[in-house]
This record gives sequence, structure tokens and C-alpha cells, in this order.
Amino acid sequence: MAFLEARGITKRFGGLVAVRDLSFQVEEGEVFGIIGPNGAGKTTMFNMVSGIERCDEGALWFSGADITNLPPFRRCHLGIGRTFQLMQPFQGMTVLENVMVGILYGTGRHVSVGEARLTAEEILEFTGLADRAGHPVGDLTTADLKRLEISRALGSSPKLLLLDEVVGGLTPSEVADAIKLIRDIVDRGVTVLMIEHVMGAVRDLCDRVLVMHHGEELAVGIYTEVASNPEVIEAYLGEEDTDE
Amino acid sequence: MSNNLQRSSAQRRSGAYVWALIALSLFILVVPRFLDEYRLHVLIMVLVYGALAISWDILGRTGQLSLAHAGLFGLGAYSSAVLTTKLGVPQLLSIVLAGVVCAIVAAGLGAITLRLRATYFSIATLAFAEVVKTLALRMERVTGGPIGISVPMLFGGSRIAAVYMAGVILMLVVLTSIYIERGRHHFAFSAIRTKGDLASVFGVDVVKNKIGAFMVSAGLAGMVGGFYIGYISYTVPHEAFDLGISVSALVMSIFGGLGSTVGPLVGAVILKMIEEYLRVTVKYGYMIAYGAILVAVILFMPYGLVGVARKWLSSRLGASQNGSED
Amino acid sequence: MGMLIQTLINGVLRSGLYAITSLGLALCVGVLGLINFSHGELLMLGSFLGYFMFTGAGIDPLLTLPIAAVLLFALNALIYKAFISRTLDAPEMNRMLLTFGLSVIIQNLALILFRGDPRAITPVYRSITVSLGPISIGLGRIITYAVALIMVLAVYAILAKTRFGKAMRAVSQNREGAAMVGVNVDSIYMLAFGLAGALAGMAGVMLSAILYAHPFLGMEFTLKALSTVVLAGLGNVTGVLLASVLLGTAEAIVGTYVPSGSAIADAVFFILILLVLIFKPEGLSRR
Repeated sequence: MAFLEARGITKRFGGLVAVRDLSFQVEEGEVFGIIGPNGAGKTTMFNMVSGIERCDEGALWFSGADITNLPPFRRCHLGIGRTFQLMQPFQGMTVLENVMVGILYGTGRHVSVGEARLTAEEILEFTGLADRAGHPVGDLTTADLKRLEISRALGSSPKLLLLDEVVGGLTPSEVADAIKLIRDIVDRGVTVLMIEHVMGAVRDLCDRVLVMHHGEELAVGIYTEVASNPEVIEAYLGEEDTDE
Repeated sequence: MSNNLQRSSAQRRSGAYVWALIALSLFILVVPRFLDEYRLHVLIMVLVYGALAISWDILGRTGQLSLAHAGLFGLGAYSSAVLTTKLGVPQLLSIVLAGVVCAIVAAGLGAITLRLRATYFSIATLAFAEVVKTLALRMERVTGGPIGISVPMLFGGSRIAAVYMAGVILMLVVLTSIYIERGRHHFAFSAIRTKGDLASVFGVDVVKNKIGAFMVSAGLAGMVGGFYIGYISYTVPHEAFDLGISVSALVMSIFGGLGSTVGPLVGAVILKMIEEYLRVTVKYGYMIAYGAILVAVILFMPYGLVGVARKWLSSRLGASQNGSED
Repeated sequence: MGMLIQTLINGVLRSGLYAITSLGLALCVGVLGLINFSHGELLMLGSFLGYFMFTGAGIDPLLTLPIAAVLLFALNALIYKAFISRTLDAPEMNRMLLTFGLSVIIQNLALILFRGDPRAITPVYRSITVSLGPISIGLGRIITYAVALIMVLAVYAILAKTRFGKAMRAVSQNREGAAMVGVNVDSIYMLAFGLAGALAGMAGVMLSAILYAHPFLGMEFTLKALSTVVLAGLGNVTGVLLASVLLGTAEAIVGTYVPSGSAIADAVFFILILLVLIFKPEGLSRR
């Protein structure tokens, strides 16, 4: 069985089907890209994997266990972590404190506040935010907020990390930094799923790519195969004409 | 560089807390000897409301603002009274048990209502408080109905002893609050307060934490209620479940600054003293001051006195820190 | 059988009371998205207006209705401008607490001005009972129910047919969207809030006619109005009538058939609110 496996998962919002009968497998240690036009259901799928949205149909398996009905915090304890596309730091807390939340509660074992503080500092060193540790999150730039998202997610020592558009909206040098950071994370043995629109990052980092369109799988395979798939190109081109 | 600054400021805050606690204890031990009966009463009320405000705030830290605090206070008073008069439990023990009763009730109420959105939760707690009040009024065999229950006065009516007991209870509340503020719970509560559903993604069992906060908040309020009935020696539903108690706890905390131990305590001290002064001079409708303060705080200083102090402090520190950062 | 019918009729008529006292709150929640705790206080002020007009100038409450509507519309519009408008973007809790604070102020102001004794007035219809065979119905209650129907129909007509009503509906569904098509959201809010005040004021006048005027009257009815609004579904203005009928009849049935029921009939409302909030938070409205 694969490390993460989705079997026919479906999510409806009223009359709208956001994700339809989606299945995929991710192997341990892979970097698995998720691409597709806007509204394809990518973030919804992330929400279903992390547990924020319940699957209306289908099943999710992680690390050999059926997580379909587990609440988000249990999935976190099992080793799933994620970032959010619309950056949502915990307001009123410092950067360091934001990271400490995941450390204190996300690993499934008891961690003291002092330990958590030290670990948080290490994580911030790793992600390059160490000099911002004491700042309130309201002060951060977009690039720093994206680093904070990643730092926060790393707090719970995830084995599977869901990155939601962490590279978007960055300058070229910031993009290069982000790619390096993601590589460092992968080198530590973390399996990564990444939703991305920046194709350069997808091409550089991902072992395989899943293309989603209208909530369904359109194609899956290595980047070069998928990028030259005529249906995929059609889907993206079509996006330019329609209002999404 | 900034980490060292952070650690030493955390240590400095610990030091400040210890000194403040010592000062508070000394104050409660020494000052009563110099006060007359009326002022002793005012001191007791300040201690009681300090405890109520802080205990209310403990749940407030999870972002849930309860309007049931009077209901829990009254429930504690009645539980203690029933335990003492009908079941022969020693009075001091019944105060503690009253807290336990309230914690259990809060667990049940919380399990049902804490899943609701914040505003709905507040309405539900208001409804709960009304239900408890109605039950107290109607279950005459147990609660004495509108006439209420009498209990023997604590410590034979010695006000100084009552002050010490109130002081002990306040200390218990303060220590509990500080423990929560300084420990891991602070992080869970803050995460829940600012971004409820998100906290779960980071491993926080949101429902368990909220219920836990509610139980602690209710248990402490219940004990205060148990003490109060022992001090006044009787209680009637009209007074025990007075909405004004919930309003006071709420306004004191918001005025002082939600989310800290200091805020509600300072808010309680200031507002209670203003209230006592007004009660003597104005008689009817002094609660109007509370309404006005609540409105003013929401409009002009939503983070309360603590928020104002923090802003002032950081503008002083910000000026001196610009050299060492970046 | 006769008792059942009498109970049901009592319940339905009593629901008229609940309908008029909750209508303004439903409008406020629907359009502004605000749970207005000071709604009950405007009810209370309306009741005192009814009382003073009757005892001071001999004017029947039914004639005071339009006066109350105008005065309390103005008051609420003022309250909106001075207080509510400043917190439009604040978190929901803050806005709710603001109205809570305002309610405490108004209530205590009334305590200072009017003291604590309930004031009752005796318009002609208060003590007339109409008998239909074995069933007796208070005329005052019937009139109140009639007023309720008229008010609900009027509000429905305003919402459905007038430009103002359409603007209110637009704003309640999508504030930014409405602003983009040129609706002056702030004005609409003020007018809607004022209208809610007018409705509350008129309801208060009726309360003085069949109950009494008292500074705590608002508090008594705030929770019941809230229950009705919650049961109807927050934002569902027309559902208020059905919701009040359900609540009124439930209260009447509990009062008659459950032993010592009249005592816990009050609690019925509150327990119902809890149940609705837990199991069907959207109430009667279609989701």
C-alpha cells in the first residue's frame, strides 16, 4: 500500500461537486505535485486530506491506517502537516509562538514549553526566520509569511507535508530560496504534496504530478509527460477564456 | 540576539509575577486588621469579583464569551447550601464540592454548546443561566423557591476570617490562571481563540481544550458562589443568579484586558470600588456605569487597560530597541 | 377536547405577542447580521410611551402606535449613527457586546427615571373576553395578533416590493456586492436599524396595553425574541410568524398539560433555543 492513498474521494458543497471520485497514491519520500486550473478542487482535496473537510464518499489511507473519519488533530499526530494558501497565522502571537503551537500539540507526545521554545528556534533557523522570532506576525512580509506557514507546519514533525502554493507571489530570488528550502525538507525524509501554479518549481522539485480539473483527475505522471499532454494544455488554455 | 532578549524578558516577567503574588498575599494578610466592618465587606466583594472576573476570563481565552457565569455562581451557592443543610456536609468541604458540581455541569453544557459558533454559544449560555434560575425558583422542596436557603455563617460571622477565606480562593484562582497563562495551555487557547478550526490542524484537540477551560472556569466560579453564600448566610434566586454578576465579570475582564490574569483583576478592583461608591451615592441604576464602560471600551480600547499599557510600553521600548535589531 | 382547543388558541394568540416583539430583531439580524441585545429595551421604551400617552393624554395605545413608530425609529437610527456604525467591521462578539452594553445603559436609565414598579393601563379591550361556545378569547390578545399580522405583512411588503426592501435584501446577502452596484450600505443599515426600532416600539405599545410597562420588560422579552428569531432561522424575517406560533403553542401546551408546567413554561423557550441551536441551527429557514 502507498504512503498516502486516496480512494474515490468526493466532496460536495450543496449542488457543486468540488472533488469527484478522486484516487491517487503517493509513495513515501516522494515529492508529488498537484496542478490544475483555478477551481479544480486542489485546495479542497488538501482540506480533505488534512481533515478539515469530511469526505462525502471514498476513503483515505495514510501510513497503513484508515484516516477517513479521523478529526484533523489526530491526523496531525499521525504525521500530516500543512500550510494554507491564504496565509493564516495565529494573530496576536509572535512568530516563535506560532511555531510552538504545532510543537506543543502536534507531535502526539508531551513536550514542555521550554523544549518547544528550543525546537521552534531550531525550525526558524532552518527556514530562515530566526531573526524575526520575536516579532508579532502582523509585521511580516508576504515572503516571510510563507516561510512562517512552512515553519508552523514543521512544528509537528510531519512525515507528510501538504504545501499549498508556497511559491506563488514571490520574487525570482525568493522563489529560488523557497525551492531550496523545500529540497532541504525533502532531504530530511519528509514526503511532500505541493499545490503549485509556478511551473518552474513543479518541474524542479516534483517526482510526479497530478493534474486536476473540475474536481477530477485529468492526468498523472512525471512532469514532462503531463506538461505535453494535449488535454492538460487544453484545460489550462481554456482557463484563459472562461471566468473562473 | 533577539532570543536572548526574549528569554530574559520571560524571566523578568516570572520575577515580576512572584513579587506581585507576594505583595498581594501580604496585602490580604495585613490590611484587614485596619479596616472597619463596612470596608472589610467592600474588600471581600473586591476579592470575590476579582475571582469571578479571572475565572470568567479563563474561558474567554478560548474566544468563547459566556453569559452563564451568574448561573454557575448561583449553582455553586445553591449546591453548597444544599450539601451543608440537607446532606450534613461540613461547610468548607461543601464549598469545594460546589466547585466540582459546577465543573461537571459545565462539562455537560460545554459538550453540547461549545461546538456552536461564538455568538450562538453566548446566547446558549444566557439561555442556560435563565433555565437554572427558573429551576431554582420552582424546585421549592430543594431550593426553598423564591425564599431561598439559609446556611450558618462561615467562621461564626467573623469578617476578618471571611476576608482570609476570600483571599485564599482568589489566590487559588490567580494561581490557576497564571499556570494556564504560562504553560502550554496558553498556546492552545490562543490558537483556538484566533483561528478556531485551524488549531486542530496543528494537533490541538479544540473541543477538549474548550471544555477543559469551561470546567475550570465554572469550577472556580462555583467555589466563589459557595463561599459567598457562607459569607452572606443565605441566598435567593433573584440575587444568586443576577445577570449583573455575569455582566460585571464580563465588563471587568474586558475593561482590564482579556486574556491575562492581571487585566481582569485590575478591572475588578477598579470597577468594584467605583460601583461601591456609586451604590452609596446613586442607589438606583448604578449599573448604568457598567454599560457605559462596556460601550466605551468596545469603541475606544478593545484590548482594555492591559492593551493600553502594552502599547505604551512597546512604544517606549520600540524607541530603545531600534539600535539592536536588524 | 375543549381544553385542548382552548390551549391551542391561547398558544396561537400568545404567539402574536412573540411575533411582534421579535420581528424587529429578525430584521436587524437579517440585514445587519447583528444580534441586537438592546432590542428589548426599545420594546420597553415603547411600553412606557404607551403608558404615558394613555395616562397623560388619554390616547389609546392603538393610536399611539404611529407615534411610537416614528419616535423609536429616530432613536434607533441615532443609536446606529452614534455607536453601531463604528463597529461594522469589528468581530461579531464585539458588536454583540456593544449592544449588550447599550441595553444595560438604557435599562438602568429607565430604572432611574421610572423606578421599579410595573405600570398597567386599562384600555377598553384589555378586559373584554369574546366567547365562542366553550372557548373564551381575550379581545386584547386578538387585537395584538391582528397587529402582529399587519406588521409582518407590512414588513414582507416592504422587503419584497419597495426599492428600500430590495436594497436591504441585497445588503443582507452580500454587503460588498451591494456596495459595488451602488447601494449606500451605511444608509441602508441605518434605515433598517431604525425600522427595527420602530417595530420594537410598536410592539412595546401593545405590551403596555395587554401586559404592563416596566424597566425589566425588555430583559424578559429579549431572550424570547431571540428564541423566536433563532427558531425562524437567523435572517429569516417571514419565518417569525410560524416560529412564534410554534413557540406560543408549545408554551401553552406545557403550561396546561405538564404538571407544575406553568412554572417551567418560561424555561420551555430557553430549552427550545438550546435544542434548535444544537440540532438544527438554521431553524425553519430553507438551507
